Amino acid sequence: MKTENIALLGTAMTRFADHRDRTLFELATEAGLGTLTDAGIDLRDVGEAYVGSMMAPPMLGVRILKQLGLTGLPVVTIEAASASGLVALREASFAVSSGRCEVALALTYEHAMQRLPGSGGMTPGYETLMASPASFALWASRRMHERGTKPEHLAKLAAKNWNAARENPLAYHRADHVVTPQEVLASPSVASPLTQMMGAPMGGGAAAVLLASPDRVRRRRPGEPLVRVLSSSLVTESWDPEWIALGPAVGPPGMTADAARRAFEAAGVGPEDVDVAYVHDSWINEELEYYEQLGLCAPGEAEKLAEEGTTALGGRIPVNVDGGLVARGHPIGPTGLAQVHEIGLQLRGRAGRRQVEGATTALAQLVGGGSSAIVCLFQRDGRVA
Amino acid sequence: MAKRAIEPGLLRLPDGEGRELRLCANRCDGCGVVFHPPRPVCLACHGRAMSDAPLEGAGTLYAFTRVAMAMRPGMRTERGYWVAHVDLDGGPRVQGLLAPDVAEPRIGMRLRLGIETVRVEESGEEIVVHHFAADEARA
Ligand SMILES: [Zn+2]
Repeated sequence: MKTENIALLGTAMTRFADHRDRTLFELATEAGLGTLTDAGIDLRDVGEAYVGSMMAPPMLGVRILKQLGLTGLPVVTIEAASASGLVALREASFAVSSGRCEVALALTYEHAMQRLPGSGGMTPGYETLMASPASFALWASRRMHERGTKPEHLAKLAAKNWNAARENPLAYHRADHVVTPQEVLASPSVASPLTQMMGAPMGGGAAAVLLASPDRVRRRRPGEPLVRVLSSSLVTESWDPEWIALGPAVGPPGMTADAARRAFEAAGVGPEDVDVAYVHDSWINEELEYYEQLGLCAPGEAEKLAEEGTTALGGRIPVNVDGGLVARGHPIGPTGLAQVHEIGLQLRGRAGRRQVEGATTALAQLVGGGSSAIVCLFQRDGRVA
Repeated sequence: MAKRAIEPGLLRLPDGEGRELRLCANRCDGCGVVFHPPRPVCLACHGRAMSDAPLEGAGTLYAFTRVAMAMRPGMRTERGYWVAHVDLDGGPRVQGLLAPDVAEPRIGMRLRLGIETVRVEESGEEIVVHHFAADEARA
């Protein structure tokens, strides 16, 4: 769906890390106050707030918002598993574009080690019998059979993301040496062919984004390029007789293709316009699948992109240059807004040593619990003199 | 000792009178698509007339992985187990465990439905789940 006349007013995130010495409240407050500071406003200027995480107990979002002030604003909680951050952004976008408010806040958070009382636990039924990495490993198994994908392709992409995170001070993993594909392959197996270094660490963190009309953002950020939210498309699984219909399985990779097609149509741009992309590599073989699903390459060419380094910084289409879920980290709830924070930096030319030169159009994609997919597109207006 | 399926609506256990283990399933009266577990509405045509159609489980291996960790606490305790996607004969593709004795899975191999105990309750009741074992007769 097209998100008319929306631009980033402010963004912030905490570091994604183990955070065993910090509380979920501290992390969420840091990100919330951080984005207000970045935007140069306080909570009195915010008309609506969309908050969320995957595992938080009831009403946590409202209680967290009280840390930022008591202004009477409506607060709506979003839960869409890994996709929660981008879904919160989507709802905040519509709050502004529909005219309901001038400024909307999206704030998402999670702390794996600090599930508060009342937070949901999984009942030990059939769906939870099989560990979740198995679902993605099954994609990889079938792809290896059909396409001749090698574990080395997966290792090369994982190493790319580990090394990208070395330039991101807010990343979970910051290796003190260049990570090689051999090192990734030698890490312990989790679910064959996936090894530990091919999967995302969870930990904790928070991220927040403020959205407003372009006029309002120009007044606040004179002289800076305007970063527009062009479109946001959220889909759930469609009936596919070829796909699994039971239990713990993740949905078909084609969900992402569906979301991408709609997002590109609504935005009036195409995959060839994307300068930098951030995708859901909770397991690295997903990144390979999404190159094709997002149209960044033709079907069957993803392995070639991995072999030729096309998606590394300096390549034709850099993907996950902040480290991706694999190395920037994936606390789940805040991951999508961390992507948006990073896109804000990239499109304003402030990404430092991981800057994609001349980046104008950016894409963020996430998959929620294997049952939904969301694709958001962003574009920078010309630099104001 | 008594056996109980890990979840209701998933399995029909052998009844001791010659009935084999089957997977609970239903078939759309309108378009014939089969669903496991049973669905209230046909996913293909949205028809609501559905008839009971339990599946005899034999099928073909579509994809597999070996999970290196142990199952959830209270379940099968040794480290390492296989998970597979299996194309059931005359039915859908389903995700499930491979039997512990499947040594070297190969995509395309024939499998048959079996049952295993993943937990024993304090009462002695066995919690069971289906799995797929190598079909020696048809390998
Ligand atoms: Zn039907």
